[in-house]
Amino acid sequence: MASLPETASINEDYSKTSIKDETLLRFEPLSSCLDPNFWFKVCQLKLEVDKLDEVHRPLIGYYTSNNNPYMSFECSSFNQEVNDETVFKYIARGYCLNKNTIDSFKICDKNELLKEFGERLLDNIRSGKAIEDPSIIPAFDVLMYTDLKRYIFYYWFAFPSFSGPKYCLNDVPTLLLNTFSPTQFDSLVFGFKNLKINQRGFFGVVSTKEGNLTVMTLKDYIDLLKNNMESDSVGYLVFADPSDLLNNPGWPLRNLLYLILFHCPSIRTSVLRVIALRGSPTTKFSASMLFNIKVSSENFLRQDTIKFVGWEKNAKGIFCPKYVDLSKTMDSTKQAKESVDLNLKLMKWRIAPDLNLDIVAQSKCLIIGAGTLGCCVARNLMAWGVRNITFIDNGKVSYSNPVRQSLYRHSHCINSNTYKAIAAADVLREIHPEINSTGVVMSIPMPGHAANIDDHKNVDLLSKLIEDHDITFLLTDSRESRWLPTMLSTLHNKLAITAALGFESYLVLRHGVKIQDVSTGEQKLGCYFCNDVTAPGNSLVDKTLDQQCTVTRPGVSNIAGALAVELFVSYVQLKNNVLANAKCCLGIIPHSIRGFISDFQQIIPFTSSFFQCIACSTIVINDFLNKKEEFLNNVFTNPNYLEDLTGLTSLKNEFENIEIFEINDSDVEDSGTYSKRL
Amino acid sequence: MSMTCQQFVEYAADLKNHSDLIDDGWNLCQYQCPMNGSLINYLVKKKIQKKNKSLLKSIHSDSLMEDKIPIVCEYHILYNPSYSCPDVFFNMWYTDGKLLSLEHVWSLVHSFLKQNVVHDKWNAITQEMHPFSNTPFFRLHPCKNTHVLKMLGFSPKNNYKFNPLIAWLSTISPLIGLEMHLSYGNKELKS
Ligand SMILES: [Zn+2]
Repeated sequence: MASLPETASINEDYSKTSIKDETLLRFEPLSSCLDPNFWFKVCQLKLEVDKLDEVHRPLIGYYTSNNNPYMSFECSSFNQEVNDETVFKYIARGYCLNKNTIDSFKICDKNELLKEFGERLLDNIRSGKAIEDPSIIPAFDVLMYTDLKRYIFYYWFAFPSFSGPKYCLNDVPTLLLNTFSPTQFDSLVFGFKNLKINQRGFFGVVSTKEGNLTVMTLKDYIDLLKNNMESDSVGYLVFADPSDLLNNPGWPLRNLLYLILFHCPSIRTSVLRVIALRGSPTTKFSASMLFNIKVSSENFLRQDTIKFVGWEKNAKGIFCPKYVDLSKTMDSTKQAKESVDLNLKLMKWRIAPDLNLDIVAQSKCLIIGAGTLGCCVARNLMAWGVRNITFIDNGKVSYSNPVRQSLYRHSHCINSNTYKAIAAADVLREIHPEINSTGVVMSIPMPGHAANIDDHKNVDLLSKLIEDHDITFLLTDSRESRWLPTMLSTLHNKLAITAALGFESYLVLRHGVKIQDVSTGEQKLGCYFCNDVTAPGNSLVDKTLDQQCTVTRPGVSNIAGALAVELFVSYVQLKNNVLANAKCCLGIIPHSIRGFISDFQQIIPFTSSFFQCIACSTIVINDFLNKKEEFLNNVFTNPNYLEDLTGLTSLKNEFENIEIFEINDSDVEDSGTYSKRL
Repeated sequence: MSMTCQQFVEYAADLKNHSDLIDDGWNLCQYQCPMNGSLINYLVKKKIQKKNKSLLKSIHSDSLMEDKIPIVCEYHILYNPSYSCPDVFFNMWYTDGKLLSLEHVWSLVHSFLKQNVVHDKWNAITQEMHPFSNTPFFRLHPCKNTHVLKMLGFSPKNNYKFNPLIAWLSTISPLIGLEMHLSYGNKELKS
């Protein structure tokens, strides 16, 4: 208490020395700080409650006295009641005005608006409402426009205050620790904790006769001031100070001083002792400062001279609205895209820094056959971030499909009305809206099957589709249906990956692209047919091997489909001339993968292309290029045409006794010498 | 090396007590589980930190004036019953409410890391939905947390002078951009 008389003596000095070398008191402005969930609530209220009304919606702002000159807003800011939390913060009450159009946001007169905000504050001060509920002293208003379609927000906060009067410091502000004893700090904290949350931002303390302190509400303190006839002020005015500047009090004091002067005008000739509460009750506000403040201009109460200040500056220090684009977090589609990309990026960052995800994402993938394999491949492509997927299939979803074919549901089968290609493309978009998926209902023309009316048209369509995509996944369930796409992908020099299934075995094979091996002079890696000297006849009639696809162990298609996609992803990591077992950042890129579930084995043999291949040999490609119509007619109607053309017929006689199945154990045993045999 | 939920609550209270002494801003919050009404205790800290703008490689649209821009950092420390260890969720955003991307979080976080700290082992920050609020939060994968506790020699049976939760948090704090006051290291666990 030793310091109290000292303050009084300074007070005397003041009256003698008049307004010499006075330091103008500057208040540190508040800045707005918004939680992401604040904007979610803004959207919800605009859509569900306010709609087209431009209402002044009450809002609660939070601030602290911990070196934080920010007023924070979150979704609970829209609640009318503050649930008395243990979390320690001060509350401020203001309004939010959400404009309907960007134009009405832009053109409304900002000076008029600030005057409107300020006058409401003035009314609250004049009426004494702000004394009863001090949480309306640190007033604020926010003007906003919300673009709910694009999740773009324009907003401008104002913390309205009065431009006058001017205040100055009577002396250098000091730490309250120099004035108050530890016991007095204890009383301050004790009294503070007993205040209601809306009274904690502004209150008063007076000393008792015993030298102790009593904390009282602002209302009680003002009553005390009003009844005080002495020229010296009584006790201390206290406010919770958000300022982070040692010698500058925060913005809330500005309105408090005006309120005090309005209700106790006699105070203007004396020095106001103001405690800027800093820190928190747990540390007994030990960082608090004592400001001795006096008024340096007089005519502040004249109504006509009142001017308001308080628009918030943006980050560049200019008085203008702020803008924020939250589409990445608020637009569910964009959010899904971001999350998918993030997962992939994490893989890149953590495991394979050289992984080229863009080339995967940009690849246009054509999936021929939207069955068990097609569904599995599509899902794995999506998981890798592929954006463009086209399905070709002519079948409809049937009752047996949904349990194995992961894109279909029972509802697709009812009335057998849904084409697989269309359903698959739709479901992909349902899974991930960012996918650009298309379904083409088309049957693949097949050799040896009596020509269809549409066949020639379909050859052109398929040719165009293969040309327009970066990779073709050949996932149909018959050898015949793989012939044309194999030939066309070779023709267009496009990567093709074929997957074929046996009951408990699988084959995944890449082909189509010319590969020049300098050492061996080989032109390309073998296609599905290179390894098989039987030309595709009408196997749908008398052969059941490929139809075994539907009687495979269910896991086989998932393994093969996943391998096909992984092979593709590894492949595109390298630019061109990807030799068998070439190395990329993800490991090797085999030519083919054969697996056998019965003994859970997998091998990666490679074969070069066969010069007499009925699908990828130069002679076949040239025949197609030179006399397309005739060639196709021959192929579709004459089952032996291709074998005759390539000279396979004669070759076949030599190998008469060798039994060849699509995938069987003899292939495996031979695999090491496979290419030599051919 | 696991920590029981009860131990977590005790250590959390101890951490909060020390935080109060130095005004560090940790709060103990409770969340009522909508499934069974049980109360879940967790620690929360929310702080506005001025970060060097150059660390945020791409420049945030309207912040050209100052070198430092305020970033709101929020940290939640929960108990993870499946891993029996503490679990940290955090988020960072600009004062306009826009969340920082993981790239930006990383660029901030790395500024805290000393060169000799091997970070590859720790590359375990992911983004997922916060279990209490349906907003995306960053998370240090809990498997890393059990690993840290193990490294610190924590075992639920032992009695320790130090608070394992604090020890764990100080170990991982550089990875999540959390500044920890040195005094946490000097204090002893009250028993
Ligand atoms: Zn071939």
